[in-house]
Amino acid sequence: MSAGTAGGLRSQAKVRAALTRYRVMAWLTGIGLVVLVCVGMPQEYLGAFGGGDGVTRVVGVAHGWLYVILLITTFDLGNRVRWPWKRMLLTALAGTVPFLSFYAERKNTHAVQAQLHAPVA
Amino acid sequence: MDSERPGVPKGRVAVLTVVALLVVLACGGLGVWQWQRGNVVITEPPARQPVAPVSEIVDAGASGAAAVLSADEVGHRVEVTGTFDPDVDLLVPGRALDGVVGSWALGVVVLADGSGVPVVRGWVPEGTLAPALPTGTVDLRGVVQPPEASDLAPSTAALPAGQTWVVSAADLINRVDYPVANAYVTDTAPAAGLRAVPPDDPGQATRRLDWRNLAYAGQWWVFALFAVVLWFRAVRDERRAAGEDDPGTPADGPVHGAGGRDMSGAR
Repeated sequence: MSAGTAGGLRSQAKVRAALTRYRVMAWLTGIGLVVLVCVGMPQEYLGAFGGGDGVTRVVGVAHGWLYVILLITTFDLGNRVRWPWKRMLLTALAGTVPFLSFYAERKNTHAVQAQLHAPVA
Repeated sequence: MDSERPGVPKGRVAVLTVVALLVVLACGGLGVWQWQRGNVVITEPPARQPVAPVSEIVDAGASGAAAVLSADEVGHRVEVTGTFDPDVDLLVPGRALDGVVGSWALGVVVLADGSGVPVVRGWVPEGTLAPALPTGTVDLRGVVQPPEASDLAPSTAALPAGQTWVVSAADLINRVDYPVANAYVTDTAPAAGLRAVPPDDPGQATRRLDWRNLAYAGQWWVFALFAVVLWFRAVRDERRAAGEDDPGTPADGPVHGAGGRDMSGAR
């Protein structure tokens, strides 16, 4: 990390809060997606778990809106820690791939924490 | 802010713009598709529904909300069986048909249950009298129409006896002593000397909203918006990156090109 006030971040507390919001949404969305893919889809299309579309009806819509909030928190965090747009895009896309979202969350959290702990010049 | 700076990679900005436009179009289109899926048509258009006895569609005895026709009742084809009330033989002046001014011949058919249904028997040119009311039981086919409001009247001038400005139960109820349906039926196959009055209001099929699809539609549109935001961001990043080559322009803060760029390389 280069010199600069805590990695050049203006407000550590706000960045930490934004990071927490992003992490919460990443986890909620990631879990929702895994439930949708591992429970809802087999239930609706393969007749598993008794069949029907109960899980996709509820989790499908909920996951969609959770993902919308994830986009907002991603953009908010990315804005605060000055991510380039490609990183925002990749983070957003990672949220649509089951399990990859957890990996992206870990990567992003480590990166932001490294920025936060960067030595003060 | 730095729109006309030399060195801005116009080609990359153009590519980003095209990609963003495609994404917006795709997301917007998918949203429209889900929006249409969310508005599920559950009934056929009224004109394509089977002919029903008029009493199934309009209820002269009903009051309040039940007396108001729903969108899929308007335009419904009905069969009216009863007798024309010989005391109600009206002309409704000022009605054009194919651009020719004339009048509607209006009567009331009394059904078996004793209630009345206003029936527009047909159209006659101005100055012509309508053929006499049929006597005895009639069995006619027509299309249900909502009652006309009194402000539809082209004039407030008093009319001679035997004429009225609008087709409305509120007006007819003063002429008869039985309940009159708050609607009217326009006869599809009028008697000789009359021309059929095409229904003004074709009615609508009823729809049911599927909130899941409507939610998906909203989400697609949010994604389109996100693409616009990212595009804006990308163009700005590109311009700033170009600006860094220009020694006269300071980079955006100390972290730019350090923390942020390093992290992107990690992915």
